[in-house]
Amino acid sequence: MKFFNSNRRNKEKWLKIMRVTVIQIFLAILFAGVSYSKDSRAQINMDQRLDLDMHDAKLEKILEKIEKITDAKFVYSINVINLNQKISVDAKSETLDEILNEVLVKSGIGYYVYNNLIVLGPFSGNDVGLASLYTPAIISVYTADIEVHGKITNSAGEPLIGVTVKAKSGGTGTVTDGNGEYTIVVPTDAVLDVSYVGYQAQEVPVNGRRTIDIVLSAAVSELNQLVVVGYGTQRKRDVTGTVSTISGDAIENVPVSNAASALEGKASGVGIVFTNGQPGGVPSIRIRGTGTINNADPLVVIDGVPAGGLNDVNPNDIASIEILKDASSSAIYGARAANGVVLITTKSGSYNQPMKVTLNYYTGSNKVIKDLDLLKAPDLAMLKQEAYTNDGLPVPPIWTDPNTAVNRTDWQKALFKTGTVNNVDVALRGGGENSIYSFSGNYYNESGIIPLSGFKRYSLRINSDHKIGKHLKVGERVTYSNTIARGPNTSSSAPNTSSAQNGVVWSALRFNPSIPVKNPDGSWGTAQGNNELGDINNPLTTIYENSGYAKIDRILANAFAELEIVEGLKIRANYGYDQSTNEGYNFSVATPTQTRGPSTSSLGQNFSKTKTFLEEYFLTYDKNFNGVHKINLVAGYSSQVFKGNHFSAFRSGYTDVSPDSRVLDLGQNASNGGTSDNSFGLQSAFVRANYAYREKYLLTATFRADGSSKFAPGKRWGYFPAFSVGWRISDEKFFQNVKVINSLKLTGGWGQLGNQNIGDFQYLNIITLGAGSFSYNFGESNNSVNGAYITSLPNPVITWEKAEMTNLGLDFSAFNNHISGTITYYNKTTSDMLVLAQLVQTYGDADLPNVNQGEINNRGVEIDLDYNNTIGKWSFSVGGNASFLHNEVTRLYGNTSYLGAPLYGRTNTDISRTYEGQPIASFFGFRTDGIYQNQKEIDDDVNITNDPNKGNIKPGDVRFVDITGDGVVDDEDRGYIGDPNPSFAYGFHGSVNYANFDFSFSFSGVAGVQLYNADRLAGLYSPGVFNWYAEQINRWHGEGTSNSIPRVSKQDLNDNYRSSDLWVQNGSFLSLKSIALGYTVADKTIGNLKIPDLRVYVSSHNVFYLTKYKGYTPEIGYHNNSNLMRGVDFAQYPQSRNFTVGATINF
Amino acid sequence: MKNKNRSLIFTSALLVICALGCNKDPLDQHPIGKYTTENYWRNEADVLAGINGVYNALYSNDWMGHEMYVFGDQSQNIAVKGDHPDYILVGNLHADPTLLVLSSVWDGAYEQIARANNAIMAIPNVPPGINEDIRNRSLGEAYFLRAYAYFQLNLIFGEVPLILEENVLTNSYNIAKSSIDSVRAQVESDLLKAFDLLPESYDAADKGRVSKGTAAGVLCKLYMVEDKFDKAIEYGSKVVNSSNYALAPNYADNFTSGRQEANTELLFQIMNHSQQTPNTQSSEWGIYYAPRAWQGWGFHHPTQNFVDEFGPNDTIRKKATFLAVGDSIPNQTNLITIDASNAYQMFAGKVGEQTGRLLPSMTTTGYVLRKFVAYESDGSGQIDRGLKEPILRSADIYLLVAEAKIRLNGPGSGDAEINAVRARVNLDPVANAGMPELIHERIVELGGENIIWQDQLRWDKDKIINLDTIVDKPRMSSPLPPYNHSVVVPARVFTRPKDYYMPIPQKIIDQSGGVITQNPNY
Repeated sequence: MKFFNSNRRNKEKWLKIMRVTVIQIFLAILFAGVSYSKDSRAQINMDQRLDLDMHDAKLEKILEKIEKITDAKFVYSINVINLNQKISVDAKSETLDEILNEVLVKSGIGYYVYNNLIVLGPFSGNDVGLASLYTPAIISVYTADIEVHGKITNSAGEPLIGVTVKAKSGGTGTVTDGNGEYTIVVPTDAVLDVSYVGYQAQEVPVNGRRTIDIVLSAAVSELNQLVVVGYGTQRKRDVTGTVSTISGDAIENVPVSNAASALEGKASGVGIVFTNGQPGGVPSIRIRGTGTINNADPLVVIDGVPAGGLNDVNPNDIASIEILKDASSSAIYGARAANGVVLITTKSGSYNQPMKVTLNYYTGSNKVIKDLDLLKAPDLAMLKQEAYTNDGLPVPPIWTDPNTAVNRTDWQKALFKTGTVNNVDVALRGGGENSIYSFSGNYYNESGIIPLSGFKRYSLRINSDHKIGKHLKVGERVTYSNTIARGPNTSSSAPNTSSAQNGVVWSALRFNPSIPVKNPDGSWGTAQGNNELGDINNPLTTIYENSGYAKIDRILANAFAELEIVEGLKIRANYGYDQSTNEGYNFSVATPTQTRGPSTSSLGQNFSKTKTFLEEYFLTYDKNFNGVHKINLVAGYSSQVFKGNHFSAFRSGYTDVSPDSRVLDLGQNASNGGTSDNSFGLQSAFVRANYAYREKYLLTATFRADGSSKFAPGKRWGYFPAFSVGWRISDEKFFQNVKVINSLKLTGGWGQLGNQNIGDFQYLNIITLGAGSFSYNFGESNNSVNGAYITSLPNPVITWEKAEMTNLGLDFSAFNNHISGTITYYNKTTSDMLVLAQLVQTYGDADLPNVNQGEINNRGVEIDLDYNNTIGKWSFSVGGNASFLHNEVTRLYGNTSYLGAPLYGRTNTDISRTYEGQPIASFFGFRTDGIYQNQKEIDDDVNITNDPNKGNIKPGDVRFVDITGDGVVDDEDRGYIGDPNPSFAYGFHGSVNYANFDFSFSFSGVAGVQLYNADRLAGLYSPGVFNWYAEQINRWHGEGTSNSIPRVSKQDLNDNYRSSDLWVQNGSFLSLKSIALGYTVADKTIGNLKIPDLRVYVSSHNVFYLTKYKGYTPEIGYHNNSNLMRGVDFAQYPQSRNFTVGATINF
Repeated sequence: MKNKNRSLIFTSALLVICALGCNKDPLDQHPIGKYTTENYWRNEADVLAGINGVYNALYSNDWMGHEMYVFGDQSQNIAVKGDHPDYILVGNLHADPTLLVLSSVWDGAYEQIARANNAIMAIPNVPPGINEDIRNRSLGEAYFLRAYAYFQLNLIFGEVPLILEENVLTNSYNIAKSSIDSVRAQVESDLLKAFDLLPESYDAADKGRVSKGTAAGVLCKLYMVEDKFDKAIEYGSKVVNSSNYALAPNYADNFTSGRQEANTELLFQIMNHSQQTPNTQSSEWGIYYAPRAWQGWGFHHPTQNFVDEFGPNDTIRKKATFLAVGDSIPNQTNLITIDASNAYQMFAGKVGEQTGRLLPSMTTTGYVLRKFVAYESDGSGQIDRGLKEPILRSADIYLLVAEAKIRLNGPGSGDAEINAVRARVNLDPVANAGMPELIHERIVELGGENIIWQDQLRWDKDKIINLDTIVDKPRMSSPLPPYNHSVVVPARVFTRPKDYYMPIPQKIIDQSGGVITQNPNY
């Protein structure tokens, strides 16, 4: 071995220095893009003489010439050596050594000879440096003894050009050629490191193979990524619809039980609406607004199987989530796509990748974000007295009893505790030449901030794909999950937090603070002694004397086979099966010392099972005609059938309530019931064509026909067409001079979608036969006999809801692709919306069917912007999104009627009504104009000139506004007083990496939204027998003392607490949803100890809310899953703030 | 492997999978656990259950199971207290179209009509093989139950839309009201069909079904409303003269659990079932009358005006009709602590003691209607929901026949029927009884059973009485402390013709878009 540089040679020295292994790491970077020729062990003769006469030639040409006329082969990094530099050489019978000295060293290039190789590198004047860098690589190459060939393609089978392939152990490498092929010489036991911009790097063990084909999967958050669309994938640059992609990384290790919760603020047009903060609660997803008064949830497709259940998927198993927002991209799911489609793709292994074991653990705690200010016992007693004296009523003795003025319990502090969350994931992923696999397990356990409430999940997932020969591929995805939601109350899965009788948060906010949690004798504190203390139970009694859970066992499995018939034409069969078994249990202990009992102990258990089977067959054809016309066709058939059954049993009268005795057998008074659920089926055919002309003009056309058993024969089939076009302006010639903008694409589309998510068999006149409430009794021995009658009337012409959507979008990237973004406008109208029929009630009392009568419109603009860059050791990305949304129910029942919602609490307050011409679930009530300060204001008030109630109104009462102008405030004066649907939603998130540190954050916010603080109404309701909000102390109690909180009055003859704008508050907020800081220790060996790749992190979720809203948190979603009531504060289970620490280890 | 072979294998594999477990005709689905009008009414069992389903409508609290009794609160006999403002407004002759009770009974009546309509349409078409006696009986029951609902609608609202078979077939529910005469004609026609089809009586297993006597009794009531006294006597006599409809030996049997099922006097009763047995049904009617402290809801308190109607010797009926302060009722085991507000009459000086007797705080008038309150015999203190709700008693028909005879032939001609009723409660016979005696007899015999106010409306129309001079008397409480004969409901004003009928519920008028119009004067 010789080293040539300035004619000095010192081989021994190099061999010593090359052991300095640290430099290998640097080498790996340096050698990205190394090129070299074939293996030959012959020692090059540096003293051979040759002629070389080249003028102003590129260095590359000169090196090629030398290679041609000698046995020498040059090895260099194209990153280091400028092959284009022009050099002149005029050598006549000079030694190779001399020629190289002349040509290279003058150009600042040093060289080093190993066997027949001449390795080039920067000449620093210090030969030692050059050799120390190169030697290990060369050694590595030349201890290898096999040459490996192969082709590298993307998952669509297209060759990838310029992919770097190198041995992991030492840094030499190559890049793929124009056909995506590479050749590399490596040791038989080497591991190839394959990397390419925009794709996920892969490690492929050679294992002595000489041919290794590699498929790279697209890395997310790159412009040219592949996007999962229904029944296939598409390059993002070719997409003509609107699809949001959220990578698995973005939701990884967020301490929430389901992926939907982690999506908040991550994509425009995707509303995540929380109902409450109970563990295991899944928020509603609203894509582009609430598209119907009926079920407005998007279709969730997990690995190709349309099956819901976001709680059953471990978020850390998710590779990516694609949200199909516009008609063109969702139309392939036709009848079920009107509310958008959420596609979840789970992680799989990679071909030729050694098994990678990932272990992940985090643990954290949850706390209530704030407490509401409530009155302490002395102030409460004082104000209660005032409420009686204001009305001239005798004060009940209890309020002058000093015992009632002793504050004993802060009920919120007694109720809320610190919750915990623990999560462990283990994943094994990898693959060989023909098979890939992924096996993962997860344990998630969250205990809530309300005692005994919690959510636990065990899940297992097995994904694998196998190639059988060159043309056949089969695979499966299997998940088993077991979830248990616990709730200490009569509703089995969660504590009751909506009722004004038993709601535990409601009770804690209302329960008298002079009552102790427990009496000295150990019994529960109670309000039973006096009705003035309130007719509700101690909330902690409710919690601890009830036990309940809902367990779900779920198997979601699918298997597929794909055959390539001829090149470009594939047929795929996909079978999916989803089975869910639900068990519910509640035991309620008799608590006769509490005002609401129950007087007897009881146990209810229920069991239900649902299953669905899916079968699909589809053909895919891909063809590229000379790079001019590119087509992709998908055509297929799908059918799915849903079945289920359930039964339940109930007994009461338990004498022994010890935990081991809480079984049905020990109770009395049995009752039970059960049935098979109605099955329903769907049958569909679909076709989609994508066409691109010179990759500039893009067209997508989709058509799907769906049949649903929910409709009468003749009304079953719905036909859903959609098309969209795209124009890649940046690929036009005239755009080539625009340097700042790297890509620019204009898209537009239109389509129709369907929704059939309604009750079964509404086209039939249903007769129910049964015992119990259907029965009658006859005979001297009182025989109860079954009865039958019509329970629902038919609508023989009932059919699909149809959503029609127009979409316009502009995609761009600029500044070397550092900035990318999308602006989209859409207009979506759901017509034929199913609303309850309105029939004159001379038909009796049967259930009425729905009729296709309503119409709702959602339109808006969505903006997404991302910025990514790497500067030195810093790399960072920030992104933001904004959605402007307008929702209006455009047709309903005319002005005569509306869609109502449940009344609120004890006051039966009519809060939410949906009228034609207003946003869905608008707030309804009176407008107010302050408080009457004195009698003259009442006497002179034009609002009540003719009001028969005028005499009952006293100073300190609320001035309600007479909208109709008849001088009487009555029900006619009620109207729209607020909109619970945000008109603007936004999110921004970012991450910064510096060396081994990573930091990320995510904000989410809404604006232009109102909330109805019904709990504040209950908290100030002066005729009530409960504790009040602390702000009651600021009530009107004399002229000028308050213009917003009325006087306390036991009789409340002015009905101050009727539904009015007094209870409507601004619901805008900005929340730091999550923040995380991590530190990564790269895998390395210290002594004999191999330290695996390790990341440790701390994070927090729901860090803070910036809001004017006065309740616990402003995230209050739908009530009872109804789209007709939103944003009403029932004292729901509050959202909590979480702190987490965790670690991820890759072996 | 050649491509062709591979395709073949792939395709055959799919076919095998499909043969084993594919979705065969996924759209061919049927309701499970339910029937439709297409596949029900196949046989005798379907007919029996279908008719039971019509009877089942009677249980509804919104209808015969309670709300209809609210209209009895208009009489002087009853004073309603409680937290239902619509009851109070009805009782005070201040009904307006938005009152909840109006739409409740409307919906309840039309639900019974809907169920009966479907039975009337289906039963004749049930294929042969069914016992024809059961077919005829069932059809008769359906006609009767439809007629009864229209009869009640007619008494309360006057003109109402007639929804009959054709309307169901053509789905035409938004039709104008029929005249009062047309509604009555429909009731008469249905009742006559029922009278023909129904059996005279039932064996033990079918007691509680309507019989010929029930149809005849309601026909008698209808003819009395129409002043067709001949016909009233004709059909009323079918009850009076039949031992199948004889008066119960004891007056209280009509209101006593276990004495009602086989009671010949109860021509029509709602067959409640004790709720101690799970999965059975009863109306909540008894709960409305029981005091709150005794697990009831405490509505409809009898007034002193009513109590004063009872003669000094009328103790059997009085005892069966009322509970006064200090009275007890069998099986009532809820013990209440006597506090200062209850320390009157026999409870004076007993503060702090416990009692199961009626306390002053349980009633605003000093009385509770006993006819409709009973307790389970198991000592649980629970209300006996198995007490049958008597809707039509032979005694009512006896007195109607007597009235018809008096009004046709003058005083004395109804003595036999009146005395039959009086003899049963150990009262001396009357002689030469005229309308005043008849009216008194009806009040004490039928009081509290939601009959007298309708009598008074019909007598006022016929100028037999003047309601003005009745409702101008306030309704009073007991003379004993703590009531001291105070006014419970002040004097009212009866407005003619408005107060003969309730207004049509506003909801219905709104829903009809003007097709159904409001009654005059509302």
